Amino acid sequence: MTRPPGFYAAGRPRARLVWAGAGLAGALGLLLAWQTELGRGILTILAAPEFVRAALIAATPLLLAALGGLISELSGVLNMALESMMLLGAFAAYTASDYGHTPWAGLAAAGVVGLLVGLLHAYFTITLRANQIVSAVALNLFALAATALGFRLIYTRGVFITAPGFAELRLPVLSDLPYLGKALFSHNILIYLALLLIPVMWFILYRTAWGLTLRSVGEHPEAASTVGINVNRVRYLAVLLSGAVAGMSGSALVSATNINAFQENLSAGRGFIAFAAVIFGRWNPIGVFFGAFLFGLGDAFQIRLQAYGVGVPYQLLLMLPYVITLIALVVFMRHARGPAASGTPFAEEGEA
Amino acid sequence: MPDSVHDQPTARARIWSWMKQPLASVGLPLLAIVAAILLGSIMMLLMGHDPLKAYAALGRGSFGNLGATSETLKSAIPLLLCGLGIAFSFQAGAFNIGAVGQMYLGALAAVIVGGQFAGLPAPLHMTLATLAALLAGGLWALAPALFKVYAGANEIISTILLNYVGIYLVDYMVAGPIKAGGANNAPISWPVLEDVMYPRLIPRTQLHIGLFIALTAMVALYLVMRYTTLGQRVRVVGQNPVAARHAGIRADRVFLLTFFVSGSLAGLAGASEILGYQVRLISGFATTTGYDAIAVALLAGFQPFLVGLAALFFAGLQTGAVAMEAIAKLPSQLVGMIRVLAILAVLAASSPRILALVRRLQGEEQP
Amino acid sequence: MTGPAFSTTGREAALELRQIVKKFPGVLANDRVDLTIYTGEVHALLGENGAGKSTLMKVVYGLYHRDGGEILVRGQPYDIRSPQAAMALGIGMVHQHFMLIPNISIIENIVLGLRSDRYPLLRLDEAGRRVRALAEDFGLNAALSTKVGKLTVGQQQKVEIIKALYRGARLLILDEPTAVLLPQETEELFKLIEKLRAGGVTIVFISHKLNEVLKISDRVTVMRRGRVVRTLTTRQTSPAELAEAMVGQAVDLAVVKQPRPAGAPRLVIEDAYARDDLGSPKLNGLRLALRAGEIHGLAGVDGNGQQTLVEALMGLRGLERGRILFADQDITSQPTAERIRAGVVHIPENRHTEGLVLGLSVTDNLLLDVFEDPPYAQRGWRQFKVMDAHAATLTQAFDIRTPSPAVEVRKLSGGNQQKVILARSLWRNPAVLIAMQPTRGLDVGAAAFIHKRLVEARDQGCALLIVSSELDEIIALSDVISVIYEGRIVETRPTSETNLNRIGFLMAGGQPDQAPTGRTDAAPLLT
Repeated sequence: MTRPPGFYAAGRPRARLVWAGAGLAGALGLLLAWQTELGRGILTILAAPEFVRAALIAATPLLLAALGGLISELSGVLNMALESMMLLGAFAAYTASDYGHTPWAGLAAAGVVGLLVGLLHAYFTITLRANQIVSAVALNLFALAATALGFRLIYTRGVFITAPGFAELRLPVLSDLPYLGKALFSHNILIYLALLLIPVMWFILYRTAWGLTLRSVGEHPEAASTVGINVNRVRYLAVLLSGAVAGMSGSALVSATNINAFQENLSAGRGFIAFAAVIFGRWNPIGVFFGAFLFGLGDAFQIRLQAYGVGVPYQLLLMLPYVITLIALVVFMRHARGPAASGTPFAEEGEA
Repeated sequence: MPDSVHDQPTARARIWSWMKQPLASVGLPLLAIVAAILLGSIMMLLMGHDPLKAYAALGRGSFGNLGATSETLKSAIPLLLCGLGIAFSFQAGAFNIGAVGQMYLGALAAVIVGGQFAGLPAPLHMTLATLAALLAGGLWALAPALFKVYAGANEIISTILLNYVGIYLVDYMVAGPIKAGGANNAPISWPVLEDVMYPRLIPRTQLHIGLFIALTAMVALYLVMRYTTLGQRVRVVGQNPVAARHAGIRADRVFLLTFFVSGSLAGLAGASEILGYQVRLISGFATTTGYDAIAVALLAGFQPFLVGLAALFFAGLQTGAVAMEAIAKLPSQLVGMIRVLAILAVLAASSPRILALVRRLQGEEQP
Repeated sequence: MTGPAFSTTGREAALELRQIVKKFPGVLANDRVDLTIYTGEVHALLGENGAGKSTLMKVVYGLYHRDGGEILVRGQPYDIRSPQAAMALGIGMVHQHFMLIPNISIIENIVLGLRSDRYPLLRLDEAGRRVRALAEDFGLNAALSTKVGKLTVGQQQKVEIIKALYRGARLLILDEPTAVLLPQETEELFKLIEKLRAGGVTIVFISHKLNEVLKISDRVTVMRRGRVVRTLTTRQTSPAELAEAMVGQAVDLAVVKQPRPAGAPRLVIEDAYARDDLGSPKLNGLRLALRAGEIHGLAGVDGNGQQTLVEALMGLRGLERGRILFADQDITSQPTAERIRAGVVHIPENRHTEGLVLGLSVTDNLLLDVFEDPPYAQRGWRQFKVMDAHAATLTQAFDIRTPSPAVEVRKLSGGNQQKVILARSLWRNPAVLIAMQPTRGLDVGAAAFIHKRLVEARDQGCALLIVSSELDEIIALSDVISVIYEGRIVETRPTSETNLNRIGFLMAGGQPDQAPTGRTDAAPLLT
């Protein structure tokens, strides 16, 4: 008996024409843009180190959430609950930093809360075998309601508090480099940690038995099971870990507000963008970074354009990151080939 | 896999199997609601409040008098309309999470058409504004469906992204192109012409004929799913799109159609908010209704009449929350938690594992 | 086989099963099974589909937990609760559907789940050094870093065997190992088994094919309906004796078929080119003609375009080039629904994912392709009375065993589920029937029923295409056999003018002018 098609049924690959066309159009656009005053202004913005710096800051929450999502997805459990992990993580990070007087308390709390959301998602999807998408939808609603209530209970209306944030870490020599120093080497420590997580995860995924086990469980759970791997235990651990990492993205989100503050629905769909980044990144940590960074660029660009005053209403500029994601989704999803068993629960012998 | 053996069912088993379908589908949401209310009570106790007093205030605030009841019914209208659309699309395996955006586009279309073309006969104008909303919602939903069918783009992600695009589009419109005239600088649209507004059902309340539109949609959806080939097509595609294709059913078309219908209903919800009582479109006029409606549909297990009940329950919590906050001094956000707890309870209770357990307890599958 | 008959005297029992019981909901899969396997023997486990052979061995391998009885390994009782426990006792298993992960490398598949001495590091290079010797020994000529998905089925099977041996298997269970192999690959496997036996490995060979069992095994245990019928020494038994033990009574299950002149070509596909979902070319100028009143068998190794061909014929996949003619009408761009209405119907490969909607009733599934047409619907309204009457007729005519047609089709047995699809395809006397793996996984009775109905359809003038991975089934049923290789038909010949070896040779990509010739032996079909 063949297995039912996984969530990511493969599509037909498209010619490289798209790429060539996009490159050509881009080059042409740049040339034309330089001819106008507005265009020169925008290109100046893009060339400034602050642009890359802001993009990296905006990309970090997405990166952490997407790396978290990656772990779960590779094990075969769709994680569209990233949004809830991020939002609850952000609330926990904010509250714990405020009460604990250190952003580290916030980071830890965000991880723990994310882990608990992961536990819920795992319980629903692995133990109860509920639909993985529906579980995520419910958890996202839960996060909205719970953070709204929690915020209301802890912070009475009207009082606005800034929680302690991560200090900027200046690196010797590197931070003083002309462009790069400003763009890449004068960030807070959380951003470096998030970036460090990329090679760490790559190594674990492709060079250790843990990674091999994780990938095998997502690709062919029956095969993993026949060599003695406890599929559902691996999936549980993966979803828990996924929750912890994605929860920490909340901490990065709070610190990306610049004022270390929280508000209702702070994540504003970023969890879903992170989910999309996993797809663009082809289920690989390095690819995932580029996915997240693309949206960081969009976000930073949009903010800069608002400040520059290009004559486009700011509401339309705010759409930009979402529109970029949408376009990327439409262009890339067809090529995407995710873990084969993604979305399908695994039943041990005798379970109906 | 072993084959299961079947004995002839006894008469009692036959009757039970007849009864248990509606029983299970009504019983489940009710059980979940009870569980949520109990969990809510525990939370209230932990917060040092008397749950009985709180729920009494909640009940009075939502159904205590004519005013409260009509307010609750009014709030139930968009939840019901969006919830029906979501239930329909989910049954076809099309996960439309975009009711928020579709509702925004519906409201936008209603205010544009309803605020212009003065001089048209009132019934015609009202119908046109409503249809414009329906179409706008439907088309806004069709886009992600097309992305899915022709580019394989996951519809959940794209509908959510389009929610944000829709919200910002409305923000832009009410701050610019359709901004109210005069010195007022607030981002608020021009008003809908007075005779385009839906007639009131009860004088001195805000309850309007949108209720009938919603109830008609509910009955229509029930009939479609129960008696028509379209309903069967939706069911087949929703449960097994591959088998549907092999049997000659064009799953892609069903996908597009359900998305369009689902978005249309959300568009109608937007129209009923504007034409029913809001008159003007404001930025952020209904940021959560479209998401709450997902919860309504989930709670109802996608059954049309149960969607009606669930919408009423949610609306009641919503209107009652204000009274609860005023009388019992409990934060209105608590109500949000009760709703979510109900959803989580339904999710757990309707999962394959629990259903299998229930079947075993009923002695249906004895070896 | 030459030499004296296998003797158990003086041999140690490698594995002893006592009164093993295994239950599934509604089924007693193993009923007090006793079995002794001696060290160094090749022990065949023979029985039809569903006899409980695989279940029994999965109990031994720790994938299933027994509900009663004892397992003794080398005389010691063990409670084997997991594959790891089985592996620790030197038991390995190669499953019928390979348990390999296609998009990771050979070596990663082999070490999956094992701890290297520098755990959690993988140390693939070190493992590779140890695997290479085994690989060379078994003639696996592929780099260990090759992704398993790129290997042929025969190579994948070798990887599976190496995987088991690398884990220290001294008792190797092979579950239907020849089911997916070409005849010549089967020969190679048998040589490999001889080699393993010479090296002291004990082998349990699960099969439902008499001739293979007779050829390779030292002793045979026949199972039927979860019980052991008897254990025989291979050299001292006969095909007739085994067949009777297997089926229970002396039944003739050979397909009864009168010769019949074929009619005019009814469905023709010409110069067809098409790609699959991943964009790889699957049909490369394929041409094929199905004639009225003829069963056309299509033989080929899985993945040579059979799936794509059937999809193209049914309108589920477009052609890049070429055309399809039905009764001389060009239907190349006709959608599936219209083809079905015109009488071109099919039985999909996988009844659960493609054939049925498991959560809907038997009635709904019987009507899956006609529920929108009159009289089952009028102006979009479904006519439940007409539907129920239709379902009642079909369940009776096709002997579908169900408490009621209103029952979810999920609850039916595999054989009855397949009959639902068969009934849906055949009730209106179709002009063309395309059947993929029509009897896969069914027991003898159900398979025979389906074969009978297919032959009846042919006698009534239907044009049939049978795609099956069981060459025996194709040879027994078909009037004409085509061999498909890399998206092209290599040869089409009447069944009487070809044979198993020739077909196998062509399936592997051999040229028709070099293929062995001869007539088919009319072997009884026991599937």
